[in-house]
Amino acid sequence: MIELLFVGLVMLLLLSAATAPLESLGWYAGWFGERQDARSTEITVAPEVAERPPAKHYIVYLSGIGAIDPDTIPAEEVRFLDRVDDRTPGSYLIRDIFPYSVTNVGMTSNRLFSRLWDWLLNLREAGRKLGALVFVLNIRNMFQVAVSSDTRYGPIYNLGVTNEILIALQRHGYVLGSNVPVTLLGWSGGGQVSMGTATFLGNYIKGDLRIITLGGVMASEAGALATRKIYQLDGGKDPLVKFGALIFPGRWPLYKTSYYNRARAMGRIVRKDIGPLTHTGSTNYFADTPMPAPYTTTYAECALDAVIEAIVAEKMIFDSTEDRACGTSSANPAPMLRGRQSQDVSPMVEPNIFDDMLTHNDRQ
Amino acid sequence: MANIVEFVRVLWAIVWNAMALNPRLAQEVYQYPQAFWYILTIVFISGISLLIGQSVILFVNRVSPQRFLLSLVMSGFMQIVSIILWATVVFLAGDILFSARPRFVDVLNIVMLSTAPFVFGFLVLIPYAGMFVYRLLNAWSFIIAVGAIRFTYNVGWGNALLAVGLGWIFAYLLTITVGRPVIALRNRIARQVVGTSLDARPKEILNALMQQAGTPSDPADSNKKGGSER
Repeated sequence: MIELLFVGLVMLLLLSAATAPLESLGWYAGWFGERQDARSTEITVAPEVAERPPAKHYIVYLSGIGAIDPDTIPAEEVRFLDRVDDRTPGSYLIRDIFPYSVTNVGMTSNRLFSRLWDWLLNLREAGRKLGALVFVLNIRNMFQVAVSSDTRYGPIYNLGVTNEILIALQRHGYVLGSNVPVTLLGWSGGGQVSMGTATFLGNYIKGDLRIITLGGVMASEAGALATRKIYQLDGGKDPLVKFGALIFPGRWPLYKTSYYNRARAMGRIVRKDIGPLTHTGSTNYFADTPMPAPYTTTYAECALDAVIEAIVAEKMIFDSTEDRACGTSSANPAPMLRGRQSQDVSPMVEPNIFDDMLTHNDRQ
Repeated sequence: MANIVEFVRVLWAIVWNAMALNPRLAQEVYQYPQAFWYILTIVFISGISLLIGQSVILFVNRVSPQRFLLSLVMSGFMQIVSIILWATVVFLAGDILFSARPRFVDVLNIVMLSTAPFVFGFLVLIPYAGMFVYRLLNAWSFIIAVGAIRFTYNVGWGNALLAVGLGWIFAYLLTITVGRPVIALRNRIARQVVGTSLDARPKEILNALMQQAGTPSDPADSNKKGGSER
């Protein structure tokens, strides 16, 4: 009986993996109606957006595989994004994109298993531990990350999500061709979607495109060459980041001509170990748990500082906060900044603190 | 209903035994009166399943759902025709190489059995791992064919490999010489059924889309390394 159940589960898993690309392929083939091209369609700007002053910089958040629909991301990510929003004055943060669907349709809307996702969402919002059910939720989106990284389906999938990003940008007042810089902030699997969509987005928006990945799991994508700068902010205890670097051979140093390695050789990719963060659990990138000494802050603040540093380094904002690098005191800087006082990290004086780290990492 | 369940059960048993490289399968199949039709069904399903696995080509050419279904059925029939041709060539090669003289239908049965792994051809759809699955299924099918030839002609692995290899070379020579009109006819039928010439390839789509977007495509990067190095 147990054997039968096991075989059934494996078959179900294989079947769901095999059907994963069908949504994006069907979208491209026009099976679900006429495709809307964000570049040639007039997008209505949201009323509250029209009243705001024009933004100097847009940040587009692409959530991890725990996302269920465009408006429902895990609560800890919402708290994190609120803080990003607070610390990026003059920038607009767009967070209503579901990166695991080419049509931005969430899993709870008009889908075959929408009742299942709805149930899981309700459980999560009620603060219930999902246990093994998290696997059910994550596996669906994980397969979409695989679709994005597959050479057969990736271009189509990434084109679809790019279209949705362009629609969201315009809905938030972005004017195509305005040269206003955009930063994609991709968490976990959102890192892959960021890299994949950058292939098209970098040129469609005719402005500066940057990517910041937090614990990003991603393949070598052409988007690496269409992006001005990519900041890979990884937790030192995050096994999934290492797994990502292992399963995508284009990221192996051996393949020097892969998109990723070429971008890296050009100095466009900055990798930073931001502290002892893990991918899940109480020490993850969004956890409000205090970090052990010598750190004097929480894991979420640590990740937040790293994100803000990257944005500041690119001169997208001016941030006067002096005490960064996971909030350690100036006298006891974090290992990555050792040898330099944290107040030296004044963004306007010396914006590219990451360049040193890049050089350091490349020598390893 | 009971008949259908029984049919599926027998079908599954044959696929399972073929994939498990059961050396007695060919012998057992010969003794089963309706075996030929069961195996023919497996070939038909494998043709459909393999096209589902490779259906990205239909999607990028924007084939309609109706044409998509028709293409699947056509793929099943084309698989049958291809296997009959391949079995003929293997039979002729065996006739030249070996002293044993099995019936043509027996050779046809074992060559058809070698398509059993392709019943899982739809798994080629699996993102990222799909191309590995495709190579695995091909290797599995080849091993079944060699094993079955070895049993049927009562020869060693080397000779069986030679027969299958020669069969493959003969088949290839046929397709580029006298078989060209047949291939052209097949392609014409395919175009009629699918409703498009299926010219678009995923990599070409990528390059076209990237050029539209203004990103310089890089065939050296995508062609040389393919999916496995992304």
